[in-house]
Amino acid sequence: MFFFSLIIGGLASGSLYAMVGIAIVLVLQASDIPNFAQGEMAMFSTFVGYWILQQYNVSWWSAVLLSLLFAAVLGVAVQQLVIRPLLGRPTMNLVIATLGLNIVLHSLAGMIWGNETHIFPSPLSDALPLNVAGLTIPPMNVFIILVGVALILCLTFIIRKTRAGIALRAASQNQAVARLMGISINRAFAVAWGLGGLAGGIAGVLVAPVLFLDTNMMGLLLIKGFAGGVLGGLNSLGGVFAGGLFLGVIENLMGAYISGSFGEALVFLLIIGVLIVAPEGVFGRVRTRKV
Amino acid sequence: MRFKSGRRFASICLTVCATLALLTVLGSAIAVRNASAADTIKVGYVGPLSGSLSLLGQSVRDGILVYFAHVNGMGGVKGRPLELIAEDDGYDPMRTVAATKKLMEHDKIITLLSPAGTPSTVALLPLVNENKLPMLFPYAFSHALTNPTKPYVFTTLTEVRVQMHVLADYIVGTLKQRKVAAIYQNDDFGHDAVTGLEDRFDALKIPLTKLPFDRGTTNFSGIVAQARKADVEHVVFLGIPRDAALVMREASNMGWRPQFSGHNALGDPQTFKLAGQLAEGAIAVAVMEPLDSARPQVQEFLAHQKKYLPKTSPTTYSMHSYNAAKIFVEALSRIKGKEITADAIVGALDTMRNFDTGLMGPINFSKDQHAGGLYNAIVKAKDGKWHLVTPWTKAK
Repeated sequence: MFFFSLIIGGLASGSLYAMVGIAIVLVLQASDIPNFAQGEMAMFSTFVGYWILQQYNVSWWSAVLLSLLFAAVLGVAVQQLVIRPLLGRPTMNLVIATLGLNIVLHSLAGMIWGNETHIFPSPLSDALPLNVAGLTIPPMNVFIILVGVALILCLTFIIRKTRAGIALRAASQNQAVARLMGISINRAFAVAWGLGGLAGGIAGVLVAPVLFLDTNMMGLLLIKGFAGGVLGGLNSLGGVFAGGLFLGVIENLMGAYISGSFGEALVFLLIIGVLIVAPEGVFGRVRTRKV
Repeated sequence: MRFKSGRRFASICLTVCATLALLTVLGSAIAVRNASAADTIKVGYVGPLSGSLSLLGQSVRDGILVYFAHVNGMGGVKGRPLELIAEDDGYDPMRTVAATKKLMEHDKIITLLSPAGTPSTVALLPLVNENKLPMLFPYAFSHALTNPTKPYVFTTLTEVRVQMHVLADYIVGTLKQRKVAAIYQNDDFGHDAVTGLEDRFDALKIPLTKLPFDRGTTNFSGIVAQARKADVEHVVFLGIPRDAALVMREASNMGWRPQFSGHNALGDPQTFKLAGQLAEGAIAVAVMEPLDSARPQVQEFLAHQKKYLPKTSPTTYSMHSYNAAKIFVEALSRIKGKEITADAIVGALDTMRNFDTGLMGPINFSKDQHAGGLYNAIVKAKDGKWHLVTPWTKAK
């Protein structure tokens, strides 16, 4: 029983890592840039949603939709204003830029909305825990996993079947040829970052009811989202998702059966171990390139 | 000296006059600055104004600002206004030391008032002792601050080890509970707290289940599952109210409701805001009056914060530093003569007996005893407020 409650709790926690991981990997896959500002961008857009909910008499769904719209626009804005001018420079410059943006957004959110912790409501706030075979399962986390799966399916459809998605894939695989085929690289990347922002925004409004809304909400989730993504394979959305869930479970198991104090460190040691054996992650594929 | 032309003579005169005028203006400007600088009493503050503990750092700073605004509004101390210079250390002890050096050398502060952060203030001990800088009433819980007594360091917040003695006595003596788990931050603060619990439990041969977590973690499900597996009836939580609320929620999700308790930070309205009904029945150690106490000085503090910093909310953090500023100003006013020096401040504090700010038990300092807040009580959560359930008693 104890073992199963650790698994359930781990999946619940892991679902949050998985959502953040999707947002990061989407942008990484499309533009080869790890967005270290993803967490704070999500936090910022969630605060916008919270502010709309508090200031105006609108329904929860309207406030959330507006915050998601803001998140997508923020993603495009970051790509146009911060990333685009630095394209062509060493990747490290871009990484530092996103790290800097991370700090700026965190401080800006603190200045605008203060440092207190708030309750962010959700339609499932008052839902009772589900009771399955003697185990209690929080409904919000089940919802998060379902949304995550739906998001992956939608994004996969967009990337595989729509013109914008195909353009995105072409741009990420070979910019020169894509340009020759008439694809606007700038527009493709803008779409990628907009979708990444949107995915991050979705992660934000799902995480906030679980972890409470404050400027530090996404702090550690960014690292865990990344770590889960690395574990699962950074070039597969499904892999990232599974990696995040797995990370949550492993955290609980390691903490309970090996050591409480070193739980976090052990998890990362495990990830290093996995990467030594399978560098592309558990579900990742090695990317081959024709030269 | 003969000049080639009248024009050259005029231009030289003009240059000399302009230079003299400039020097005079500069000189008086410097003189004015020095005079007004000499008038202001400069006090320093360092704490986590950014990062995960920014609410703590900013709220503690705000409490000082509120009291200083109140005092300055009444003409200052001995006719001199109080000025607070606040620096951010992001809860990083290395930055705390650097910021304090800047405050000492550049801003020439006379005192470091209510710095926030347990590891940060411990890191400052060598610096303040060496430079004879009074470090007064930090928002910190470390045993090292007053053991042994440091000449320039004074505290009002009962160290967490002593708070845990009080709590352990209450758990065993009054609640008669013997199956206890401690869920605590895996840092100096948490370890100090657990040491306090073990001091009492080991003597009574009661086992304590220890479950540490890294600050910043979002996953408490494993820890709560472990506490439940250990079949405990009482969980002592040692961390910030937000994390306490997450733990309470995890337990509730599992259909488990042990007795919760915590140190003084738990006894904050924030716990109700976040945990709601789940906080009902929880207990906490109180070092100061609850924020909704009827005592007039507490009401006055709430009114002052609303007046001077209307965009902020009063918290137990800001009440602590408001209280700290009150004691500091009292010490300043007890100094005989016009000159305010570090030694004069320390001298005034060393002779402070039974000073009642109205916000906590009476403060007592002496040359050998710089831990002024030795009175504690237990508060219990009922109907969304914290109520005193024991009288203020001197900790053993």
